[in-house]
Amino acid sequence: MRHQVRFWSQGIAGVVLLLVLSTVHAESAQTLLPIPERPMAPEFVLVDADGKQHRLSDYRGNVVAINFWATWCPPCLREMPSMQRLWDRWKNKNFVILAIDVGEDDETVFRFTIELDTPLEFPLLLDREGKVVAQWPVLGLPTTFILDKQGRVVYRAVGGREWDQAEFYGPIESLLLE
Amino acid sequence: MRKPPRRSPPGRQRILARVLFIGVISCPLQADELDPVNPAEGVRTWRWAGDGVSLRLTQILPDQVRGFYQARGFTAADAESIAQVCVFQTVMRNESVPGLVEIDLKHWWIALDGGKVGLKIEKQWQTEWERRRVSPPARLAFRWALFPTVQAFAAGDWNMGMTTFALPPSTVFDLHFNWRVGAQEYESVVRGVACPAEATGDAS
Repeated sequence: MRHQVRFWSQGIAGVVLLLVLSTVHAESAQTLLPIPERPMAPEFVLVDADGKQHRLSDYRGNVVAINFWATWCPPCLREMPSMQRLWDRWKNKNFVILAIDVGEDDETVFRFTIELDTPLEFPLLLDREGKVVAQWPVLGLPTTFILDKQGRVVYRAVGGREWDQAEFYGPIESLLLE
Repeated sequence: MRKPPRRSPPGRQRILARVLFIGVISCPLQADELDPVNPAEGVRTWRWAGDGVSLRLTQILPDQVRGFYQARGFTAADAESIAQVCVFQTVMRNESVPGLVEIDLKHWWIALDGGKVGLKIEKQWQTEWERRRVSPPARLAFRWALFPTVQAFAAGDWNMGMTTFALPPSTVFDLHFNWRVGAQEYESVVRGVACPAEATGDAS
């Protein structure tokens, strides 16, 4: 019985997901908001879906994209394949993506990854209690920050984007050359 | 309730421009209900666009609300308390405004039976969840699924989340919404928004 309820619930949740996906279009401008002050990014230590620990400061010397997301968030899912393509483009050139799942467990994230058409190779970190996201200026999911090689926040994007677009290549390339 | 915002005192040209603006913008509002996104579900969507921003409201059916929140740690009884209000998947975008578009849902209101009623915002819900001892993971999921009360959108930014109105199923209302760009305040209305009806079929 409990199994049936869970199945029913997830089925309905899936309907919601499909419904919302069908209503969303990414026709808005592909933009990044520059943050001229370049504040230091809050430090964090999180484990990924494989149990490996990641400390943000260990990535100094790399341009880092921090993406806050959740498996139930349609625009988050929509932008993931383009984020993977961005990763493919620069993964060997001091560019890192850390996608931080907010409020879910490893099983949920794992189930999400195996259902996704595009395999995700960048780390999926788990902020199960929402303590890390609370330290960042995040109001909605997805929100993405681009950090320079010194670990300072340089750009912010609220809402989903198609990341493998020319509009994003220039800013990232500039940061890689700094 | 906050007094509805006003733009700076208009001169003749500004009055004319404003009349034209209202004529251009408000005419499509009532006719701007989209075709049902999912005819099988009978879900309806309303969309407004103007002044470089857009707003979209899509009904979420009570059964969908129950399923979504029960799958995220809410008990059936607690999920039911959300399903009993009027819920919309809400998307707002800064399509082309160069500055920051700022919104505060506390200033949005609905016209109903000659009166004004505010949205049911996150703070009110969280008070309820605390009283009902809803688990922290469920409350966290709720917080991120809801459309945030206060937001700022740079050009190209957008967000999606649930807005809730403490209204019975099938209630029809006009949503008055507003936003700010710097010191300039804007407002508009989406007319004839309808809360989803409770499903009548057997869901077992």
